Amino acid sequence: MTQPLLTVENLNVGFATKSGVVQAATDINFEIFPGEVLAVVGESGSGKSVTALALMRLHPDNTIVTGNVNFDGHDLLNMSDRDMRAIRGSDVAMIFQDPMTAMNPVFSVGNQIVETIRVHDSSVSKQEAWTKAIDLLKLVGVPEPKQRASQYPHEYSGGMRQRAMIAMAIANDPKLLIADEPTTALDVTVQAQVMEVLHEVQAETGSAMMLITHDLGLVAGSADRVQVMYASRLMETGSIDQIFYESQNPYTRALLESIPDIDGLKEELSPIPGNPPSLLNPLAGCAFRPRCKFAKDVCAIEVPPRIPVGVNHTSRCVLVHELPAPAGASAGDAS
Amino acid sequence: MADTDIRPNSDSEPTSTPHKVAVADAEGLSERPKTFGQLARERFFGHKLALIGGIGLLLLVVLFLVGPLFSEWEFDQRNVRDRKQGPSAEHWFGTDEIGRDLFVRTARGGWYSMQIGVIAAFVATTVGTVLGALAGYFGKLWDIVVTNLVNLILTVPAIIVLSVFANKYGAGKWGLALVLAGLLWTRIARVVRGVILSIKEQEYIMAAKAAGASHSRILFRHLLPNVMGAIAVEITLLVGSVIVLESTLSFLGLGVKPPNASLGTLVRDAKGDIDSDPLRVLTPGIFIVLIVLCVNFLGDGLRDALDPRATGADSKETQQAKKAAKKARKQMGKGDMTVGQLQDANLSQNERSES
Repeated sequence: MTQPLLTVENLNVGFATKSGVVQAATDINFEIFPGEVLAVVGESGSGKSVTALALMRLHPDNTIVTGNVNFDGHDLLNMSDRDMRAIRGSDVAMIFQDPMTAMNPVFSVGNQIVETIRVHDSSVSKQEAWTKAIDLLKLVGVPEPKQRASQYPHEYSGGMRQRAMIAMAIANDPKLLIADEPTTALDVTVQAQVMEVLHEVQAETGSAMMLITHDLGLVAGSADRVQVMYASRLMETGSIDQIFYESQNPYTRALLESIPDIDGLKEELSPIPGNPPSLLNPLAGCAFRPRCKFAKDVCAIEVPPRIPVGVNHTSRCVLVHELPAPAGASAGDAS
Repeated sequence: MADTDIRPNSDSEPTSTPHKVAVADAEGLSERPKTFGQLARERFFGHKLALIGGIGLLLLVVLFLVGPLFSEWEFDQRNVRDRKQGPSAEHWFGTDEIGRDLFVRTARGGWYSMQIGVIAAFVATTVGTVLGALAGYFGKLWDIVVTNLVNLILTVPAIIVLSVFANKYGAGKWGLALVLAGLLWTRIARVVRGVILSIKEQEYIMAAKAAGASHSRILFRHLLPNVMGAIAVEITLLVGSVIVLESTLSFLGLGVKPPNASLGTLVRDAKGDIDSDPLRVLTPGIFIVLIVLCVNFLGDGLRDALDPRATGADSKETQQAKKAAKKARKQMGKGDMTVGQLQDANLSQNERSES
């Protein structure tokens, strides 16, 4: 394969709090190749967003970030603030979770897109940028883009705002789009539309995408590769088929089983019992152990390493070779 | 403007036009969307109190500047024969104890007070906004320095400090204005710091950072516009305070020096005769109240006008849409209207009241 666009090595993100360091992302290693969609899946608090923010260096001041992040030849974690700003919004763009709060209420939507364009290239005239903003709004499927551009965020509906956010993110043809739960704040019918738009846009611009979500259904339809996060660690990484049909990790399987079945064949939902562990005092051994139905004594000994279980497929589970064969297909149907 | 295009013309075409209006409104799209300036102007002129304040201020300025031209007296012209007179055709507001015409002196004093008010408010706002914004946005050392400076100035007894400084520098317009500004910027700084502290954690500021915006850009392009509404109110309150403070200082004999006049000195000069001639105290007092009141009304209107989410005054279109909806309901009662048209009319009304 070609050179990866983004290489993350041994990334650790911790928050210094009064009661100690909260380890929000531990030992994160992954790559994103040009044009590929990588989904990062996990429960709330598993470290997905923190990882993304750390990549963009947008984390809060009390954060301790270590590791190596290489993006297209740039060392993101050690470059100057000025250089980092040049990359943000032009080479790496971000789509935020809540379109209600991610736009400045006192500027028209068009104005905000113009702003994004001109931050990085002040040689573009306001007029040109405005025309481009209208084209972008059109591209993401905002009806009547000419009129809509001069409206304010509060005059947009939720789905429309998220489209505008996408327009803003792709304004400078980024090589990598980081979409942090882009559809979580939207209702289901609108989710599908927005994902559609993201897809078209991504195909149009050829940019890679890091799709952060807790919605496995969303992943099934849109990702090339998936990594599952739990309690700050990557639990399983693999292609979409490997994750959905040949999962070698109890946590991933539990996640898949907890998806509601659209055919109604399952009578009850099967949630994962218990709560995600505290990141302040991590458990010895596997973090999923208390909730895992396969758990054995060996699980408590050490944090499982990432064990290769297939081509580009790794799983963090010591029992990986003792697990029953994956049930597979049912989850695939659900999506 | 766009409003002529979609104005319901219900007299000539009672059935088709309201329908068209409703559709346009339901989509939230008028023919040509308005710029922020247009919207702000519209909201401002729809705000009755603000209009009254603005017009009142204009009238006062005209009175203060043009009025004396119609009087035959100069502000420092003594007329020993006509001392302590009440209002008359010759001396409209009467005369003071050394026979100077009070109308001319009130006009001069009023204009003087207004100028000081505006200059001091402008300087205080500029200083206060910049320092408050730096403290709120960057925090840390900036915040410590600015907050403590503000607290220090707030704990200082204003009148005493003012007396010292006003005695030294306060004779002139600029001196007095700057001394007042030096004391009053703290109010603006506190407000701006507070607002910025609360909005800098908003996701759109994070989004701006993610789009590669620098600190100065975030501060001036993203944060300050959000503070404008709060500042607008604070400025006008400030103008009021400055005028009152200046009057106080002048009353204490520290501000404006004779034979010059300000509203404060006029009250002071007349205070001895308050029993025999209350009008001489009341007239400048009333002007102080009028100026402060008008400025505050204006500030209210500005705040609403500068807030893009303000619902405040209904625009012309909204008023017309509401009228159209009302009319439609009446016609429905008479059976002249189809259900669809009624729904459209209702829809447009609901949309408006929600937003």
